[in-house]
Amino acid sequence: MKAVFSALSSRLPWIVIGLLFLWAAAAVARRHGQKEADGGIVIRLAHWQLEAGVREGFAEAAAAYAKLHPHVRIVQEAIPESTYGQWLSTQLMGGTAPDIIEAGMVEPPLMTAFYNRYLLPISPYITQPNPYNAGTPLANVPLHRTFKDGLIRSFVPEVQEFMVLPLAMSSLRLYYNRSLLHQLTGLEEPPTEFRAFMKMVDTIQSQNTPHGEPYRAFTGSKFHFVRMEDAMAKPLTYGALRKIDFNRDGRFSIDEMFLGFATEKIGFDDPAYRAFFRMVGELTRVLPPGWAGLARDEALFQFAQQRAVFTAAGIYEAAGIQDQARGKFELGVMDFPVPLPTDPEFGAVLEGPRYEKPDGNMPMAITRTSKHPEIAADFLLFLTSLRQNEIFNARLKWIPIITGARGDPSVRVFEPNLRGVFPAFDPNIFGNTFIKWNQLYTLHQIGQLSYEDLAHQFTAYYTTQGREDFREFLRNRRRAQLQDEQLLVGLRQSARAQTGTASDWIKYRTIVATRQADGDKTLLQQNRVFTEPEALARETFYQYSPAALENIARQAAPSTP
Amino acid sequence: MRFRHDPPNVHASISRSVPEALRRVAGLIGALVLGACAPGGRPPDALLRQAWEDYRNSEFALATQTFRALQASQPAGAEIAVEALYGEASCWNHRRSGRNIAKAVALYDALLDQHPDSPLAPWAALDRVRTRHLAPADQDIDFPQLIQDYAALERRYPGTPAAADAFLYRIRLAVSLADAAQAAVLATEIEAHLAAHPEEPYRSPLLKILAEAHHKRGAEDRRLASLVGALESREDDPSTPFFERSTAYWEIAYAAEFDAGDFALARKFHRLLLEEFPNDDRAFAAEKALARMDRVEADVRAGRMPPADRIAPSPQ
Repeated sequence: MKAVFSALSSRLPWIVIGLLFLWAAAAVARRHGQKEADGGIVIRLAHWQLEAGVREGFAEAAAAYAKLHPHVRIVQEAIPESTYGQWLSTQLMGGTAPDIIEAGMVEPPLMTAFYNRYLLPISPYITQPNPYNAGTPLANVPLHRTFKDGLIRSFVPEVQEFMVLPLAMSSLRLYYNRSLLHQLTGLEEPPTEFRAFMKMVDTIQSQNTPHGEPYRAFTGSKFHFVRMEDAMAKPLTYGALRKIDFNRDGRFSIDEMFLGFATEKIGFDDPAYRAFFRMVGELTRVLPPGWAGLARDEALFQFAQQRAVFTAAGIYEAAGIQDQARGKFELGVMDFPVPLPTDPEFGAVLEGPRYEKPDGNMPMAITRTSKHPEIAADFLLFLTSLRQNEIFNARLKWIPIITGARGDPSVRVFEPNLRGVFPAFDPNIFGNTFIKWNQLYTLHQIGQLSYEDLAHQFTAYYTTQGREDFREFLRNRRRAQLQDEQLLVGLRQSARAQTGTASDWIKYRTIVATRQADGDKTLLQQNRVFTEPEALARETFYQYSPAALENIARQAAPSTP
Repeated sequence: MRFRHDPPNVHASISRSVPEALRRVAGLIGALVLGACAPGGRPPDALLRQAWEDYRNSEFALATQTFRALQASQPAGAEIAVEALYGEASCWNHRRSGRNIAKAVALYDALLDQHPDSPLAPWAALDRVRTRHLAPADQDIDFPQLIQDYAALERRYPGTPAAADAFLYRIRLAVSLADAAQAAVLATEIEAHLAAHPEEPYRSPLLKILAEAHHKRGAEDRRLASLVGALESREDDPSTPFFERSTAYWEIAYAAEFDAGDFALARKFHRLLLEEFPNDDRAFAAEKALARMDRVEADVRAGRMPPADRIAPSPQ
């Protein structure tokens, strides 16, 4: 007996490994057995949305689809956000990816490579009406026009194809504990004007919980701060755009900000940037001590425990927050407070409400390895039909992406504002500048570096060592052109061989003109910061030229009889 | 085809020091391997398609192997063999890891020397110039030389699509580097080219570059006409219903307001942006621009000219 036990004991690791192998093999076999059960078709779908309601929403949509198509079963795999990127990369490269994936959670250049290699364009579908819209006002409307965002961001210029179908829209708002707000301030609703709001914040923070700790106005973490910064501080920088819009396209870019600093057309003394930092100071002043070191979930805990009144959150967190509040306190949602035009510090620079991009959420794509891509596409059409998108988003409590689909009344406050100002401040040109900026800005946020010192130290770095990072930034643009050249030669060959679509030549010429030739223009223009900085600094934007003024005067002059 | 600034004996160094026979033996081995592996002995055109698919998917090693096998297995001069030669050159030219420009140039040269009448010859010549235009990012580019190279290609292969590409690339570089006097000469050249080539496939981008040339020489009215012409002649892909015109509208409106003082045109294009792209991030600025122009006009009528040295405000 002892000998047997001794033999077993010495072989125990191998026995455990063997048993684990058998268990794993059985689990895989059972999974595959489930997938191919009844000889039907199984469509696998993967996403990273673990928020409450999403899995149920997909499950209900899958059940509704199965009623129409009994031979098809939709199986979802919800992968945690933190590992989704790695998981997706492994699955795609290994050829084992699901039929439908949520596209994202990897760096943009890698995602572009994935679009090229592993995902199928959905372009053939988007000029056709969605068959699941039959009998609705969208019955004969081409698919792309049924989306609120017109599928603008589904188009991937690098591959000149539409690649994803989004399922919802999202936006950020302030959730608040209405019961606690009333208890601490006597208010039913928080003020929407910034100064009154901050006065209310001080009132909240002057009171203590039953345990003797001060109440906090906001849940505090880096994650939450960034949201408040985006919504309340960054829109103040919009006016700076008109000083640094080197390509005069009406949009801000990080390269233009660098050029602005390098040519001294702008600096930290700009009123728009000063206002931004003053607002950052206002916000960090009222965040709980140690906020910069707290994680998102730790901070949300403060809200669930009714120690903080407000939390900045996306619509996709709504269901989770509602679950936390249920039976404990009444929940309210508001847009971020805004300074009045008469505000002594911010009124002069805030030019309008903040613009919220109407980006689609949950961008779903079809993999090239799918055995049934047409059925995968059909399920996505089902999900983006007027009726189903309404049902799906009502379940999730998100904003439908399809025009005319009614949103749950509780999400109306989340409807994005599509007319307003956007940020014109982002000093990240990658490399060491990125690290330097984060170090200095973090010290400033926690009160260990004054605005003046931050401005001085970062400007000194940005306009010296930052130049090397900018050179590398331009080199990366050149590397991207080489990648586009490969795409061009591939397109040209399929166009020549007539194996591609009739529009391959048009796509080819579009890339030649917009990415290669225009890319040269941008490179040569921006390289002037090294070759002829004085000439670059003399350029003016948003100023009437003398010739223009002459013309204006001539045209505006009252006509003589 | 040869260019004066070619690296000396690049072609010779590859195609002679690595003897053709050796390459053929390697290709033959590849062909045998392919033949053994290919299910059902796939026909050469299917293999060629597969090689291009691998190339597009950045599977350069696989693509190179198939392209070489096809060169070895097909009669010399056969269309498939020539295309495979071109494909192999493309692999060496465009792979990010292990890019070998010298090898690519040698293969382009081989194609140009051995198959000068192939439809791929102009493309090989273009790609050869492009190897210098898209030189490794840490190397400086000799733009004046590049401009001459593109011009030489246009002369060597007139009327071909490759020459059209070369013209666009050349004019793009030349206008970017030009001063006012050179811009005037280039504007004349572009206008003459467009007049002589009514079917020019790059009419729209060339008109945009022409607009830039006119701007450099201070001819704002002609700049606006060129920008509008570029918009009107844009080639839209019917399979891509999203025709992004908002940037073109913005560019015309900006130039019309600030550089030409043509408020009527500026208003027209700001309104078009608001109508067709109401959710564009510049819609707010377009609205403000319309209000600003109204105010400026009113001020001018009242005898108050806006200052030329100050940034135009965004009306509250």
